[in-house]
Amino acid sequence: MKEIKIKKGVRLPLFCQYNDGNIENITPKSVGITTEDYKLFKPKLLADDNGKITPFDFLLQDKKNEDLKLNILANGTFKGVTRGEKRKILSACVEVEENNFEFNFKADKNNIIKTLLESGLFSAFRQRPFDMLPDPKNLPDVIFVNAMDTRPLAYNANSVISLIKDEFIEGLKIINNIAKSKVFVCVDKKFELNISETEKLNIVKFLGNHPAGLVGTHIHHLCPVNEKKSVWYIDFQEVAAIGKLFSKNILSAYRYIAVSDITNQKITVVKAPLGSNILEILNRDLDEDIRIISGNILYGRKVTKDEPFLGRYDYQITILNEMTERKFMEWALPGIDVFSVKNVFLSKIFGNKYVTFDTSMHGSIRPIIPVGSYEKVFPFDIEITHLLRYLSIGDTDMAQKLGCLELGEEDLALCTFVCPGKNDYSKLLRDVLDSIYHEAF
Amino acid sequence: MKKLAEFFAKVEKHFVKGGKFEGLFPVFEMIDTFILTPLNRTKGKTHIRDGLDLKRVMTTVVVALIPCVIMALYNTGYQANLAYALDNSKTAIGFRHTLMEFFNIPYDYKSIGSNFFLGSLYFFPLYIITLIVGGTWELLFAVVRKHEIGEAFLVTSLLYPLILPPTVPLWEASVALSIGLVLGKEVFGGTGRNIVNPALFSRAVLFFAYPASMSGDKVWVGLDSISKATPLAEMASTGNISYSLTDAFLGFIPGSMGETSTLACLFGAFVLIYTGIGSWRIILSSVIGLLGVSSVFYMIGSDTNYMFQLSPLTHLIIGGFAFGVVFMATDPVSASMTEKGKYYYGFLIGALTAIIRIVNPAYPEGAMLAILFANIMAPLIDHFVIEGNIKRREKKYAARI
Repeated sequence: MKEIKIKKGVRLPLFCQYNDGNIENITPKSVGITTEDYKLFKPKLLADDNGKITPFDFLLQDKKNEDLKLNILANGTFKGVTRGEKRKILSACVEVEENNFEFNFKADKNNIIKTLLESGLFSAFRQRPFDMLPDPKNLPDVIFVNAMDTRPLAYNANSVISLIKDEFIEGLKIINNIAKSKVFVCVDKKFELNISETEKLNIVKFLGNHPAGLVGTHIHHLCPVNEKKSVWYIDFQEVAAIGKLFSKNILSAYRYIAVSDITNQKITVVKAPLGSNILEILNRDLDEDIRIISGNILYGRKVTKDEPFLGRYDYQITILNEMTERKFMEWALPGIDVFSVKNVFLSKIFGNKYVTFDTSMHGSIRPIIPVGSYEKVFPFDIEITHLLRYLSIGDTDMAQKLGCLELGEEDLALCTFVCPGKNDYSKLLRDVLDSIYHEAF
Repeated sequence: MKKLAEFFAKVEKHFVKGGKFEGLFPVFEMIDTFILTPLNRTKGKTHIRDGLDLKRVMTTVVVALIPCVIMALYNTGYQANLAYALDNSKTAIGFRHTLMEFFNIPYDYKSIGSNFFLGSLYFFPLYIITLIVGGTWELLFAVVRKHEIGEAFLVTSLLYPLILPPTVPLWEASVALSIGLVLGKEVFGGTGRNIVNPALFSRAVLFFAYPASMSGDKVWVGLDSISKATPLAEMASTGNISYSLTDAFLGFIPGSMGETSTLACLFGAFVLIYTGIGSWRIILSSVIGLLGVSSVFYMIGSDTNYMFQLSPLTHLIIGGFAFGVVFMATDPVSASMTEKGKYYYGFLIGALTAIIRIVNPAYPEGAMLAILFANIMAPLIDHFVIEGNIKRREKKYAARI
């Protein structure tokens, strides 16, 4: 088994007690699709308001590629969409009428892609470059299966894999049939499942701190992409769902989700259907002093009234305190409870194990000051400071030469986190990727 | 704190768009965020942020500079008082002498208080005028560009007096700083976008525009017309240095106010390297560059050019090399930004410093010009490193599946 050690990155000093008691099954009253999860997807509405919806009805379709359709794995009533600027569809909501989120579905092993498209599970795949839904007509040479998670306060991926190991192994067989030449299953050092490697199926261990568990890191180290070469990638829970579909003919909407509550310092794992209303999972309302995130604190979508649904690719919900207090001359304080990757606060000197994070920017927006923070956390063979500078001026040519096509937004989340100028590089990357895509296609 | 926050919230409406003092928003923002942390919450998809911001970066550099400032205050007064002990007909002139007399402070090099007081009379006027001039330009450009005032000028304004001789006229320093700040920084877009280090560029302007105030033997001691050469100038002209290496290392020699003490610079280097604000790569490769090139000249030797005979270790200790490398070369914006490029950039500074000092007959000191030249070369160095990276990655695509 190949091992790759990632030396750069960061382990945040966060504390949360892990509650590994009974895993609760969540039965939400509403589920939905958030279009922001699907990059470069131009949604066209297929359903009528207040119409009956089954898992086999599609709600949204991509205007550019009509093969790409999105459904909700629930029986209920379509309650319509919420729209943003220029009437862009933000989310689509279904009111659940039946508390069942597993359905019979006749899978055809001879026509895998067709089955995946009809079941809606095709949306589990994404493609690099552009981090978008792939074109089902062009099967990939390489597929990456991410079977690890180094995100802050994520669940232990190996514990979850042990719960779904049979489906996962079945799913890998299906994935193996889709990829033309290689399947890389990327795991952490505690991975225990005995899977025999073949020339096509490769298990690769990634060791190190976050972002060692991000698929962008895996792709960069094993099969970097460019404008001519793309790969697909998928999470292990989706592989297990595909395995269940093809081995048991059951289309399951259930996924294991880690609920990390930084305010109460605890993590619980729940089993919730795709697109569940997060406020219903948490059984609480939105509160001004608390931020609820679909995803993790380094990269996730803030839950709002208009977009309350669990992200399609999020297996984590995080609750974080909002910053409410202005501190007196914080720039001069020794910083006993402040974290930095640089040794500029006393918290580092005294080896503070845990630090309280909130939504404070810890400063105002300034130009890029390259003091070496990005290089500490970015494990790619890419000249990151210059890439960030080209992203900030929107120079698509140089950004492309420097490797922006290898990246997804989440890969730059740590650069955003450590930036002394408080810039948001994920957003800048998305803008540049969108520009490149629109210029090329 | 709540009342203070409420006060600022109440006053803010006059400075925001449509308010009475809309144009002065950068001033309000500067004072507001100086006193209280701005109520800025994360907005994008990254919900937490590292505690380091530009204010903390600059505060760290200021902490690293403290020993140099203390030495500037003490040694400037000490050198002047020492000169007085040799020729007590000469005193400080103008307001400095008046203040010495008014407070009844004797010119006594053995008195720590006298040394600090006299040194302060040279350092603080320069520092205050630098703050006023630098602050005014920063404010002016912030108001015109409608952006917030950058904190970088606080460090520039502290670095600038430290690299000047004590006797430089305040107006000359102000003119040079104005030219240096406007042409060296603001025309390129301000903080974070400058090509050269603004403090060093200002010193270079002063050096070439007013050479009488910046070179020669009469500018280094703060007493009327007292002549004392710096060790490097002595070596260049006589082949001997009349100061002990210990004094040179500790900083009890004539020179630019904050540059004389290698020990103080080492403290600064420790702070900058430990905190990660300054690049150890630049510092290390600069030292290697200076030692390497000066060793070659030292081994070649020369009977006519005394600088060939200066040992490489002495090169490290005397002159402005230590200060320049620790505080100027490591300026993250004007230095090379690629990790690999930092090695080339630092080596260039060290090597050029040695070459200018030894081979160029006009300037016994070369650190300033070497760093400025390296500043200008840094984008080119980065260009080659980036091109190398792009080509390497292209090969990688071809080699993999």
